[in-house]
Amino acid sequence: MSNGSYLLTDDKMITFIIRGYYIVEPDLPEDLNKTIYNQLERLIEDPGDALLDMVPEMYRIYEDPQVAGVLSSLLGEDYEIDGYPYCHINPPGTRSQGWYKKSAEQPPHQLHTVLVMYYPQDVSTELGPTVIMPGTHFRVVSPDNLATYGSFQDQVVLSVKAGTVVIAHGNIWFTAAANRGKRTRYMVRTHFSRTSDLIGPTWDHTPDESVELLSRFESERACLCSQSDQQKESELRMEMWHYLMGTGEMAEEEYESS
Amino acid sequence: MPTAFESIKTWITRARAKLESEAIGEVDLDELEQILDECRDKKRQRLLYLQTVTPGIQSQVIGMALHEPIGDSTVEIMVDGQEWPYQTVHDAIVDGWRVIHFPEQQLSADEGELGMLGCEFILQKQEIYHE
Repeated sequence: MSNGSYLLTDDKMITFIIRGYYIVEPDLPEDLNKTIYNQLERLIEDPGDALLDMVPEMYRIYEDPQVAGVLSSLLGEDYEIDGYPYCHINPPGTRSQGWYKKSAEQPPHQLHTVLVMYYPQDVSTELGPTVIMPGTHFRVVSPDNLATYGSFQDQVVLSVKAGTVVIAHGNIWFTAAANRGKRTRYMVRTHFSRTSDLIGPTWDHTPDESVELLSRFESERACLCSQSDQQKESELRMEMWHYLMGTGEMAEEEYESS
Repeated sequence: MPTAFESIKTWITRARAKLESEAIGEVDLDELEQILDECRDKKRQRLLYLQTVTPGIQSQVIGMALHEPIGDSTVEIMVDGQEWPYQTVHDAIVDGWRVIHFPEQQLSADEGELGMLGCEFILQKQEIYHE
């Protein structure tokens, strides 16, 4: 359950719909991230689905009110963990990886599942940061077809502070850069999913203010792409808004009459 | 791994410096000859994948992956804000790259659906390497 004051506003929901991710910097106790880092360091082998048993402090990350507020906004209050957390371990000398996306896709205009990435240590550009590509959550492609991509001009390098939680649409493209630093970079990846059908907005929605904000779907660009792609993307953004509002055509009529 | 061009340039730079105080000798020429021998039959193919906004060669590059013909090399993701070497495919052609694959002209996905990002060109450059 989330504290209502940490729900996303309409403006932030629209940013999420456009870009496909949201960065949370929760107010965590100073030693919590260090404790989690040290516990991950002590793991001798991949704990598989026992990670939460071996690093129970991770529950405090997922239950943080700011994190829970974003998850409630995106998935509804009764969201639940989907599968088990997985720890990505990038020791010094690890090379850049290929782009990846989850293969079991949700329809591009819907939001059933989000990817949650937690970083227990500061991540500089030297330490093998995660790199994500904004707007790609709308693209229907096989993960194998991402094999020829390298760097993108509009990619976002997640050079973040310890304790940062990045919440992204489950379809977004992401990769990891090379670790040229001297310590291991950990990232704990989890999925959370919606459990019930939408009947209305689950974030801090203000009907009068949101209508004007919807013009951002046409005017803002997540990444440089063709005109026809931009047009399709604007339409998909509006479809996702309808879906999240649980109101179908009503939101579109509000927008068109504004 | 330096290219033959780079190794010979380095030799010339050292030779010029040496000429300021002494003459170039047999040893130096032997070294140059050794470089040339080591470069023989060492022509390799470099591959450059460029994704652009539209299928035109003057279109803005949005993605890039450079594959070097070195045994253990991988494509590195650029994270330090480095300047991109080419803003268009035409820039790469002017720099000596040759297009070996052009993107498809037709739409890459069903109407209303978004597919792959960008139009993909594949370019090659043959280089002689000094191993």
